[in-house]
Order: sequence, then C-alpha cells, then structure tokens
Amino acid sequence: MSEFLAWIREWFGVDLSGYSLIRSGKKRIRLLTKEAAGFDVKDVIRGVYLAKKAPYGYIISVEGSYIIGREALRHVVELSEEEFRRWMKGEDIVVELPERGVYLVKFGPVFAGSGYYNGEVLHNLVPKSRTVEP
Amino acid sequence: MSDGIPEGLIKPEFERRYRKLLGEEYDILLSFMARKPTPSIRLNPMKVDPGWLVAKLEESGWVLEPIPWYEYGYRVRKGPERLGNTEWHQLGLYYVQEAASMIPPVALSPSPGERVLDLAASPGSKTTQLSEMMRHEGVLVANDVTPDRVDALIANIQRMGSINVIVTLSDGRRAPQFFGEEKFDKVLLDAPCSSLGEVRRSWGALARWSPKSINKIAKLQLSLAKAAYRVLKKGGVMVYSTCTLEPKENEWVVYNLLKLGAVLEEPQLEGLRWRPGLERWMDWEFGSELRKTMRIYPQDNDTIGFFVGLLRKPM
Ligand SMILES: C[S@@+](CC[C@H](N)C(=O)[O-])C[C@H]1O[C@@H](n2cnc3c(N)ncnc32)[C@H](O)[C@@H]1O
Repeated sequence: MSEFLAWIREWFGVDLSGYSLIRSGKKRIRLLTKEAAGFDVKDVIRGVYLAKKAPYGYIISVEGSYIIGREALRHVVELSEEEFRRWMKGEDIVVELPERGVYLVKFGPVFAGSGYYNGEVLHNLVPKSRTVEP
Repeated sequence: MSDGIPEGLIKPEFERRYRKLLGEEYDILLSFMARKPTPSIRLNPMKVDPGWLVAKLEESGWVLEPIPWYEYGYRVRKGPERLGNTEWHQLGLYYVQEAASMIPPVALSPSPGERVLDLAASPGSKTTQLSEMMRHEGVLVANDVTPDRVDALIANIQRMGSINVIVTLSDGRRAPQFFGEEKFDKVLLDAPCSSLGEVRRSWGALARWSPKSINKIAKLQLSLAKAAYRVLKKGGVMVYSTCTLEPKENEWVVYNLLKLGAVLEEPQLEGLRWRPGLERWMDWEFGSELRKTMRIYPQDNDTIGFFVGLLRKPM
C-alpha cells in the first residue's frame, strides 16, 4: 500500500492520507472514509474500487479519477467535447502529452477515468461496463 | 405497456377492496396505473455541480422539470430513450430513480456524521441518495438478503462513488443479532412488498395480487420492521416505506410498531401532495395517530404509489 501511496504522491502530487485504503485481492485497491473503515461489522465489501496494479503504474477507476483528479497537480488530460464523447464510447484518443504513463481524463469539471499514454495514443482504460453503447 | 389495463387482470376482490379504499377515485387510480410515469433522475452533487450538469443536459435538448421534494431530483420531460446509456449516467453523475422513490430518504433526512442503516437496500437507489445527503460523512450500512441483488447494489455504490457505505449480506429479520441492539441513529426499511404502486411500470404486481400473498408479505414486513426498530438507538428515527397501497402492508405494520412504543412524526416534504394514513381498515382500528403516515397516490403527483411512515424511538 505504501508503494501505491508513494506513486500517487509522486505521479499526481496527491496525498490520500485523509482516506482509508484497503487491498482487495492481489492487485486491486479500494478507498473509503476512515469512519466507514473503523465501523465494526461483518461486511461483503466497503467503499469503492479505486485502482489496479498494471505494468506501467496503476489503472485508476472512474471514481478514483474524481477523488485524485480534483487535487492532481499533473498528468491530467483535458479532452474536447468531441473527444470526450468518443472516449466514453471506449475509443483510444490521439493526443500529444509530455511523457508516457497514466493520465486522468477530464472534460470540463467532470472526470472520466484514466488512460495510458504510450507516446502516441491515450489508451482507454475505462471498463466496458462504464462506457456508452453505440 | 399500452393505455388501459388488460381485460381480466383485475381480480373482483381487488376491485371491491380498492373501491372501498378510494371511493370515487378508484377509476382515476386505475387510469393512472395504466400509464407509464414520466422518467426522472437524481443528480449526484458529490460528483458534479448540479447547475453545470443541468445546463449541459438542456444544451443537448433535454427538458427537465425540478421535483419539488428533493433538490437534486428532476423529471425528464424530453431526453434520450435510454437514460441509463449516456456519458453522464455512466460516470455516476445521475441515477435513474422514480420521483416517489426519492421521498423516503428525504423523510429520514440523515445528517453528515450519523450512523445510518438501510436494511433492504438493493439495488441501492435510496442507499446512494442517503450517502449523498450525508455528504459522504458518517457511516451508512447497506444490507440486503439476496446475493444477486447485492451485486447490483455494489455496482451502483461504485458508480455513484458512495465512499462511506459498507455493504452487508444478511436476513434483516435477524438485524439485532447481526448488528447489535440500538446501533444506529437512523434506519430506513424500504420493505419488500406486493409492489402495487409499481403497476405503472409493469403489470406483474396486479397479476400476482391476492389477499393470501399480501398476508404473507405483511408478516415478513412486520418481522423486518420490528428488527429495524430494535437496532435503532433511543431517540433515533426510522422510516418504514413501501411501494404499495395495501393497508395490511402499511398502516398495519406501523400500528404494530406503535405497540412497541414507537412514536409517529409527520414527515416534512415540500410540494408533495399526500393523503393521511388510514385510521381503520377492515377489522382493524389503527387510531388517529396513523394519519401522520403518508399515502402517496399515483394521481396526486404523477408518480408510482408509495407509503411512508416516520417513527421515533423515545429516549
Ligand atoms: C423494495 S426493494 C428495496 C429497494 C431499495 N431500497 C432501493 O431503493 O433501491 C426490497 C428489497 O428487500 C430485500 N429483502 C427481501 N427480504 C429481505 C430480508 N429478509 N432481509 C433483508 N432484505 C430483504 C429484497 O432483496 C429487495 O432488494
């Protein structure tokens, strides 16, 4: 977990210490409020899925993109409305970005998950269940 | 669903009872039941500035009308066919929710920082609304007994970003054993019911209606209500709601909670037309206190039918 927190701090400039983070399976991380984490009850699940380990860092969920994106100092990409509509259909977007890696996607005040930029295109990491069907 | 209820769907006993309940308004109720309600959405203020989203939707040709009793609720007079397949829906900026279904959380009125239980929570329309009303502060436990339905609950909590919610899977009738006695400041029991109020969305409930099935479900509702009352702290409040108009599933259940010492309060909702609960029905004398419960008829606000009772546990 400390590795993840350090990555978020370094890559986006965001400190998540105000929240509780829990591991879910080998690769996934969930986020919830400290109060909800401290409540004693036998649960099925708590909070929301935040991120998943990937070779190039972490895939950030749509919800994660809000929580992190609102405070992020870097690695956020703003799309035009036309690009945003295509992004929400699950398409990759051709853009020019400063460096390779994970970017949070934004349209106006709205966050729309994350993508991986390989130097040419921003690969769409939004799960299919959260995209718009044609 | 076309206009007009199919021939033979209404059982004679149903007609007898509902004519007695509604008098001259019986036919008006039926005519409303035969029409689909206007779809509505609830905006998520924790993810987006509601003003920005309303402007964006209107810019794309949607016609929205505010729902008076919940500040983030809107009827969609004109909009896309599939409200669940837009960018904004997929990002969790709104939830497609019937206007009447927004009433129980408003009646419960949870505050940030409280400990709240939603005992029959799936698929989470009201859970996610409660979480937003709490501004993600405090703890909200969302429970259901059906594993399949819990999956839908989890997906909706995720989509709406409800980070103060804990999901549990248990039979609500055993809530005191599962959660402990007097644990919560507020409890919502949006009970499983015969869904008569939902007839506007599907005929199924009308086809299934029978006095026997109602008695059976009322028994389950009362067990759930008693369990919900036990996990409520002294001084705490609870909402009992159903999407049916059956007195046995509504006033009868609340009446039995009053016998345990619960005290009824009148919910405060802006711009909502409602009828007072029944003082008597068939052989039961519920008493005038029951007038503080709300019967929400489809014809009064153009919603599905609902029943809401707000109860306090004395200190
Ligand atoms: C009317 S629905 C709840 C709708 C939900 N509150 C919402 O707004 O999305 C009733 C729920 O009660 C659940 N249920 C039925 N029996 C139960 C029991 N014994 N304990 C807990 N939940 C139960 C059903 O699985 C169903 O999801």
